[in-house]
Amino acid sequence: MNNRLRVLRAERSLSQAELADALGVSRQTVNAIETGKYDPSLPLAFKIAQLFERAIESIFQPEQESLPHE
Amino acid sequence: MSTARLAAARRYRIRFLSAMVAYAVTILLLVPMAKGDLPLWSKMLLMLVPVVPVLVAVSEILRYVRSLDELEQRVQFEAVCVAGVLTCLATFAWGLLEIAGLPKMPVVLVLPLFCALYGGATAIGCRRFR
Repeated sequence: MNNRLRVLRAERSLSQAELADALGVSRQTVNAIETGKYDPSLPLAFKIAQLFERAIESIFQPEQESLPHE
Repeated sequence: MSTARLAAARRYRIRFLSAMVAYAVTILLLVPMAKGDLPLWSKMLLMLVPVVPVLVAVSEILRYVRSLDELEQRVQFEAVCVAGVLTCLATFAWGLLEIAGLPKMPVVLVLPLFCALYGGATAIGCRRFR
């Protein structure tokens, strides 16, 4: 899954540690999500979306090949 | 790391280390006693005493894992799975080799083997997501 977390965090001038504190997770988890090594659970994705006041799908997008074919 | 997470990690370290010290002390004190001239039932009772601090350590590990976030819990879960499977495989293979003449492996080594594998698997899991 692709995500825009790093961009959104930069727009708000937040460090990974500050974002991690706001989300109640470790800095390593924020880094793993940003680098695409870890896809967050739905509750955490909602929390991220709420924090940045955006819809989940505007932050997280599925990889093109994982989308169902028409 | 947030204050709550730091406090949980600190509490875990202190309680886990205390349990391990208690375990070491009971082993050092009770093993010579259990080798002495005592009735069998009292020797068995003495050698079950070190299990208590190990139980405390296990409960502290559980409490700590519950305080972790979802990625950290996933790393711990995978580490426990890997350590469990490898411990089973290693002891099973050793058991087969015993039939071929290898000396019997003391059962008391199973837990340290699991702990070592669990530690190694956790370290590898943490590096994967770094």
